[in-house]
Amino acid sequence: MVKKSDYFIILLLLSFGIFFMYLYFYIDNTQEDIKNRIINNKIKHMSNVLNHISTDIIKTTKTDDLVVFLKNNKEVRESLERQLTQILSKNTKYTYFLFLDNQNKFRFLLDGSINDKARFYQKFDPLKKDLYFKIYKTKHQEVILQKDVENLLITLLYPVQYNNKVLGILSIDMTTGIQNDITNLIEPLKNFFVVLVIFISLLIFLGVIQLFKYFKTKRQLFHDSLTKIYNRHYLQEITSTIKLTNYSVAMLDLDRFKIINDTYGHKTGDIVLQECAKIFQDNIRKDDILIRYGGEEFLLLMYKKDNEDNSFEVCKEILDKTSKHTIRYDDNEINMTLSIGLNQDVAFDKDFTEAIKKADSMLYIAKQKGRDQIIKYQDNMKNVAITNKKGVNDVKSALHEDRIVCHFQPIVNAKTKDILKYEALVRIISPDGKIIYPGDFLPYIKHTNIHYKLTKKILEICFNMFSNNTKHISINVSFLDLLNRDIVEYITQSLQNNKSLASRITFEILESDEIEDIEVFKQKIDILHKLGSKIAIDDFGSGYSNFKAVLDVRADFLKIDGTLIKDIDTDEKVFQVVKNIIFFAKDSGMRTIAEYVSSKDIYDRLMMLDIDYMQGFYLAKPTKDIIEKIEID
Amino acid sequence: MMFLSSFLFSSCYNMNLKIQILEHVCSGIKNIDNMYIYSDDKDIQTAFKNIDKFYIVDTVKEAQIVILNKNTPILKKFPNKHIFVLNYDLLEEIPSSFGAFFWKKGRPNIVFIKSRLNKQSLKLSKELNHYVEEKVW
Repeated sequence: MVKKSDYFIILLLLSFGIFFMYLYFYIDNTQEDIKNRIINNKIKHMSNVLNHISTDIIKTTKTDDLVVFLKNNKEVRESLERQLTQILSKNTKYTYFLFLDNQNKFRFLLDGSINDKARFYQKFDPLKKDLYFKIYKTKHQEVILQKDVENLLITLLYPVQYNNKVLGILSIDMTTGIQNDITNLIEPLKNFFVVLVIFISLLIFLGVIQLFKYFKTKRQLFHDSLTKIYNRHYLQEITSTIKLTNYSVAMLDLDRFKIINDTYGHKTGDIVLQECAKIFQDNIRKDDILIRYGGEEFLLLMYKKDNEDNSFEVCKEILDKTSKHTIRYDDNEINMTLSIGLNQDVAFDKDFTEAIKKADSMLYIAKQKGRDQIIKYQDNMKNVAITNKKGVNDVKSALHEDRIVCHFQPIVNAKTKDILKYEALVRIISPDGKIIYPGDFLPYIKHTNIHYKLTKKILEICFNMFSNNTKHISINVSFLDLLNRDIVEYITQSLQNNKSLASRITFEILESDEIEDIEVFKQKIDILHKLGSKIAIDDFGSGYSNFKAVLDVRADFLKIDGTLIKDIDTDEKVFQVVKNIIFFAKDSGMRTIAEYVSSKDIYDRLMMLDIDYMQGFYLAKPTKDIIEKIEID
Repeated sequence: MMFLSSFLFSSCYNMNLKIQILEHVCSGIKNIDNMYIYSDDKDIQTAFKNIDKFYIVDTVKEAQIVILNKNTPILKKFPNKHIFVLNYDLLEEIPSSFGAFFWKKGRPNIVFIKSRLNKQSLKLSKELNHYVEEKVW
């Protein structure tokens, strides 16, 4: 989007260019104007001088037969010629008095010239004779601009009259010296302006180059190099300039895109992204804005023209066109589907981030409900938890910038004190290097697409790390994560060919009220069991605990909630509850794990209850690297 | 009157102008059939060599028309030559010269002396008659 200020810069440079071009040409006009003014003044002055001489001639001769008089009065002739000579200067070359005889030939009666002096009554063939003849009719002076006579610029012809009759013509030839003087006078000024114009032109040229580079850089900055559509930088650029309420916001995400990358390679993945982006671009309207939000995720801002919201129709068109389109590359035919979260009611959103967040939540639901569909915010307002936009953005950035890490806390055999396994605990490394704990971000990303992306990342880290050793790992996944096909597919693909790793993994699943459909829950747990992995029910004893569900899924471990454990040494009722849970677990064939073992008192109390495994700061803190052995006092 | 003016628009250079005017002057002399010309002016010699109707000769003796920049004693040996001069004052110095072309105050001027034309039985074309003078002033 080109801003008004950009147009202003271009306009300013053009104006400067035109101004200096005008100035350059104006110097020539100015020079001509000065020359004309000086020449006119000179002519005026010479006219006065010739008028005086004319008067002298008449006064001296007092006759209309000047030829005879001057022929016979050499002294008078010489006296008048001296007067004419006095007019001569550097720029006034010839002064003479001409007479027209009866054969229409002009003849010199007086010549005050020093060089090339004519004889008395010598014939003269002037150029532009018609102007000479004209004087005899008009009785007015004439000025001839001499273009064909070398070194002469102007000839001034002045009629000498007696009794209202033109007796002859006083003539002055002015040289081009005047012109040269003026040119020499103005030349430095002109040169200065020429240099100035060149300098300014150079500046304008450099300015235009810079402007071109600026636009090019700006375009590169705001456009995704792969899909050629806008990127997230552009969103930051426009959020301050466009009115949120004029738009509906949609988040678009290509379904199962990771499989495309894993199956066909990243090059094919890029082709898929390019073609899908083109489909989106081709099916939006002129005022809509399409942004590649990250990976396979796109943000679409749809303009409400005349307050009419056609955003659902636009999304539907995109959804249909995408699913019907077959991408052909390297002999492969790929059909993609798309999930869309749509937020049409942005009037209640504080800003773009909140509006996008809502659309993202709808996208999450669309994915959960089986993909290839549009979920509108209005239809699902109750399902959306109020989440913290900062938390979401922090996790997104961390995922994008690869700042997600896992720390590992040992789970220790209570009897042998050997380490059974390690629980993976997610951390975010902040841009300034600080560790951010899950309590600061997990609650805020619940019910968002980011949550399962984070789970996927944790799985990726753990699988990679524990593929290379023989140790056991415990990984937290939520029921909602298990409902996500991408995550289940990722787990299946990663573990079905790596039985050793699968057998060393325990999935810790939070037992909560989100498990609405126990059958689905059992199916998901079965998948994990079939892979050879173990299941632990996490935080058992918190909220309401569904004993039947725990029994149905045949969990391997029962992890007692930390809020119970932390009070076990001070609260007898808690002690009894924990005792009963341990009894229940052992009776059901499940091993028990107590977390939050933070002191020797808690440790001792648990030992009294014959707990199988313990985990907590008293035994070992979570660390970046795996601890091989622990020491207990 | 228009004769001289017409040359001005055909060329900007005085030398070319002089050559063109002299070419017309020589061509305007009616009763000389073969135009053998001698000139002490190298520019005229060079230029006239390229004009078919003129024959440039190396000596005054061979010439019918002699075009001179300055007076020369050799003229006394050939009193019957038709002499055209390139300076008004030479008309006086060389009494047998019948005409002159010269620059007067930057303008091209031509003069033919009537009595000398008659004496040498030279006839001019109509367009040159305007330049005929009774005498040298």
